[in-house]
Amino acid sequence: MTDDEIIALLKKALAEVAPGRTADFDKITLEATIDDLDLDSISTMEMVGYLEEQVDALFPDEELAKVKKLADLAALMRGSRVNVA
Amino acid sequence: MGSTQEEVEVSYDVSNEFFRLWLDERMNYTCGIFDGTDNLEEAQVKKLEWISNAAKVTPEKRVLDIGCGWGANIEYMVTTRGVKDATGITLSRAQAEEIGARKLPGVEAHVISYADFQPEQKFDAVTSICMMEHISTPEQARKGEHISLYRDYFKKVWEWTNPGAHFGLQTILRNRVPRNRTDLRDIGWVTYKIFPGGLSLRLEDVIMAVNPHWEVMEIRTRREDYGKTTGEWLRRLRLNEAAIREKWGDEVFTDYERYLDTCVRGFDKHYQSLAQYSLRRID
Repeated sequence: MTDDEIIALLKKALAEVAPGRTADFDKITLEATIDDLDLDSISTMEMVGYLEEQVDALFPDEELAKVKKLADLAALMRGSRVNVA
Repeated sequence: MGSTQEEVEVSYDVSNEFFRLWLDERMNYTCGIFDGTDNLEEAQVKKLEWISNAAKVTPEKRVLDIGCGWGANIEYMVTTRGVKDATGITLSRAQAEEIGARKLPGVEAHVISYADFQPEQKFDAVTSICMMEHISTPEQARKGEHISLYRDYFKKVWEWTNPGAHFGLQTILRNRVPRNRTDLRDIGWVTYKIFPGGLSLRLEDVIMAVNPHWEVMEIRTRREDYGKTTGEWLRRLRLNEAAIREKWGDEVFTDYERYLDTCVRGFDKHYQSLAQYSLRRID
């Protein structure tokens, strides 16, 4: 997956879990941190669930615990079985 | 450290009569083993048998049961395995009262935390069924203190035992954080409302913490069995809905229905599991 494909997928995930905040995520990059997203913990896990569904993978919890930047999340997505239409 | 007495009593002291309505006849409040049976009573006896075998319980051994609940395990060891000298510890006064009412020969039950327990004589075998969940709070785990707390527990049990001792252990496992809002909220609610101060373990926590005091001889997971156990508890709770609402109020019924329903989902979706261990003291 290219960076652009991952960013597009992240925007879709964010639109699912934080509808109405599309403008906040318009210029998002992989250098952004999870904290920059300003999501509560439940929404963050929902976003992860959406991404797992889209790439047809289950990310290990202990790897998720290490994620600080969206680039870390991208690495998990790239390391998974990719099944994006 | 871990669950306080007040927190433990939130979990276990609603009323002995309340729990008697939906647990098995011996009042096991932990996972049964449904090998070759669909009957909860039989499944609970199979669990007790597994734990006693794991601890190598024999009649002449002095046995300790940590987190002894209402005494189902101690009663089994005394009446079925011929144990003549058994000690149970619990933080719940209602549970200790129930053990006293069972009038079991050679049995002592103490209301004391494992952290303060200082036995005068050592034990030859130890069992502990789903007590470790009260050793670390979620807050302590977030600060990274949980492994040290578990290791300190295993060290204490080592100090309380004679060389050659075996330890039959059972713990609930937390396998995977849910990814959807309903399940996240329900599991969080169970943690804080039904079992305040408690936290299920990760399998790797146990593997790390037993060292250098205990050797893992056997591990068996029982996720599906705990799903069946909690499903049967939920069925029995609902059968007694009218009586529970009348005697303990609507909130107790709805809380326990939500809790047990969450457990059934949790085991089905692999959020949680259960493990049984046979440990051997490293002498």
